[in-house]
Amino acid sequence: MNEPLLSLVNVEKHFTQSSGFLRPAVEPVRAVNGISLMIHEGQTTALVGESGCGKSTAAKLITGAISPSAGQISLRTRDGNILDVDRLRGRARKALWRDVQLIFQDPYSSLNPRMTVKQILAEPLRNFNIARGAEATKMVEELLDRVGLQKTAMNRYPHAFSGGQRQRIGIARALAVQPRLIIGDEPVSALDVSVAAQILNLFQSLKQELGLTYLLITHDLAVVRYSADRVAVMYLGNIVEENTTAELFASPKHPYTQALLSALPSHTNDQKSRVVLPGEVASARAIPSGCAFHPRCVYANDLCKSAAPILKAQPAGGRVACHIPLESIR
Amino acid sequence: MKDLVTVEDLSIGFDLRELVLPAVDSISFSVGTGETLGIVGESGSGKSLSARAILGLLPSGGKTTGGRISYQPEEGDAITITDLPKNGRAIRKLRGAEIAMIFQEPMASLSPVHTIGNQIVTTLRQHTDLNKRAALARAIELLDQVGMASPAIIAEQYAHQLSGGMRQRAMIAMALSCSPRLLICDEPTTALDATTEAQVVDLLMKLQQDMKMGMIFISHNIGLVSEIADRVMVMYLGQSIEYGLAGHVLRKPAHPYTRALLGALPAFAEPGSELASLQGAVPDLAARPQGCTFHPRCPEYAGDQCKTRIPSVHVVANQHLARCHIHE
Ligand SMILES: Nc1ncnc2c1ncn2[C@@H]1O[C@H](COP(=O)(O)OP(=O)(O)OP(=O)(O)O)[C@@H](O)[C@H]1O
Ligand SMILES: Nc1ncnc2c1ncn2[C@@H]1O[C@H](COP(=O)(O)OP(=O)(O)OP(=O)(O)O)[C@@H](O)[C@H]1O
Ligand SMILES: [Mg+2]
Ligand SMILES: [Mg+2]
Repeated sequence: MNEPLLSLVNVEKHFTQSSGFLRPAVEPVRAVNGISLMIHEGQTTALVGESGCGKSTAAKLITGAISPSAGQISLRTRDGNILDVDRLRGRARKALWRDVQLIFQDPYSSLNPRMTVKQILAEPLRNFNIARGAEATKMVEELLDRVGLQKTAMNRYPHAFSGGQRQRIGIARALAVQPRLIIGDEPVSALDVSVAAQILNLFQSLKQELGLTYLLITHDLAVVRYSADRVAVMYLGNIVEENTTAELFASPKHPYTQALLSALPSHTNDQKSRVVLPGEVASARAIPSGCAFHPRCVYANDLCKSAAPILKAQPAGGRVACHIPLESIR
Repeated sequence: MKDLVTVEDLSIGFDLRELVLPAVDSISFSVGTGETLGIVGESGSGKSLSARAILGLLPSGGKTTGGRISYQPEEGDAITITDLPKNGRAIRKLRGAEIAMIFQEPMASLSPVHTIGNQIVTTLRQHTDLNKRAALARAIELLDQVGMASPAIIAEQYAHQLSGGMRQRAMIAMALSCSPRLLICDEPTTALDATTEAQVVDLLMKLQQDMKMGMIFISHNIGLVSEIADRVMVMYLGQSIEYGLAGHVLRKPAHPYTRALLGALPAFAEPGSELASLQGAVPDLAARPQGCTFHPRCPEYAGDQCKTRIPSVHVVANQHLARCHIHE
């Protein structure tokens, strides 16, 4: 296989907090704790995991919006060069956004309230010399149409839209520059099924037409199963399992993945069986020793409490970070 | 069961210089103590606006153009919310204490310059007689209940230091802080994974049982709505097109729109296949179709009458209403 489009090697992001006046230094938040991941061109990789496990932080690291505390993030450019994302400064960093675009989890705070929708969408077109004037206006109209908004939206400000409409303005903005890699941070979470379907179909057709690559952060497993080629499962800042979508859904190897998948409603019963993981809720401020998942894992033994498992390639494909992957138990 | 809030023929419009955009058109519903009303409908159909009107919190430019909303307090006469002065004392007293709302976009309602803990403490101290220390203890307890690890540390964080799902839960904690009698939840679990969602929903349902809280639950997750709602209202382009008991509306939908909405659930699609999305996009409010507003997209289009005549509301079963010509 050729060089990956994007590669993350042992990437960490720790947020340190200034110790307050009366309180001792607080433990740093180990939001991303050494992840390695490769994404190949034309593939859709889903990143899943509990709230607070570090997904959005990983997304921000990839766009260069924040710097990693350790590790390396590299991107293969259109002409085959490998860029170190964190080393980019000034114009080079801006140029990165021609290739990598983020659909923000929170559209409300990512859209400039003082710009009309037309300005929001035309700005990147102008900045990257893609189109100006009448041509840009035409492209803006097309973009709006593709995300299911009307032309009349152009002259309104972000506040004059519903939540789901705002989310689609954010999607249109990310698509505007025709990037090669789109990171969607919960891109359809605020959308009802029919509009979400329209957006997912749009992603699918852009992938087929233009070979776009996606990193899709979502907690909706139905969306994952429908649109991802590969899935990476995160738990407390680490990737604990990674595999093709079909294989991961058919036979999860990490106990956490198994728990996560049990929430997926099946075709036959529409009453979803709820997974409630036992034990304390995980915190990136106090990551347990050994395998971070051990306090909530029904299979944990002494080794799991003391030694952190590393993410290892499995003979049958995929990677798992577990001392006793489920296959060996069955 | 007493009705807590009654909405009658409510219409909401936006004053644009040339015209008034009709965003919500003559909707009616009521919510009783201990009861949950689910509101579903495509993006832009007017769900959030309808909910915000109950708190007197319409966005600038928006105003009620007709109808009324009344709220029945624990004691005394009903209060007509639509008659109260905007942002006056009376409505502010209700907000937070009696009627609370979990907003769709947490960042829009959390303060960027106060810690999460301080924001909850402020709300608590406005509406209860807890002292500062007790209020903080209560805030931490609430953060714990919504599933936050290290709640005492979370209380010291600012909104931007939390993940999307943590912000949403912080807002839920804030809405619950004064034990409201009516809780309006606008897409309260969109940013949450299934496990955390289950925990939050269980908490809401438990509080509802314990305190007989009334709930309005706006969600595009129809599966979730079917689990928790007693009644359901389906909205399209600002109108209520179907309204009734959850079991009726979601199991035996009477309106073609509701049927189409249920048919697009991705959980039932083949991987990689085209999802059955509704034909066409929701029209712009400024160009609402004549007759039945859904007719250009309707898969069960029933002839000229749909194009020319506005359908009236028909009773299709006990407490089950639908606005469609096929029920004439
Ligand atoms: N700027 C920051 N300062 C301090 N802590 C932060 C900051 N940003 C994120 N964190 C912390 O890092 C952890 C991971 O956050 P992140 O937003 O990456 O989670 P997530 O996986 O996207 O969760 P969600 O599904 O809820 O959006 C959380 O504990 C969060 O509080
Ligand atoms: N300030 C405003 N000015 C003009 N139109 C507005 C304004 N605020 C909302 N609208 C319009 O009113 C309609 C209803 O908005 P509302 O927020 O109630 O939708 P919703 O049903 O909650 O949708 P979503 O599921 O996307 O959140 C939308 O078409 C929106 O564009
Ligand atoms: Mg996130
Ligand atoms: Mg809304």
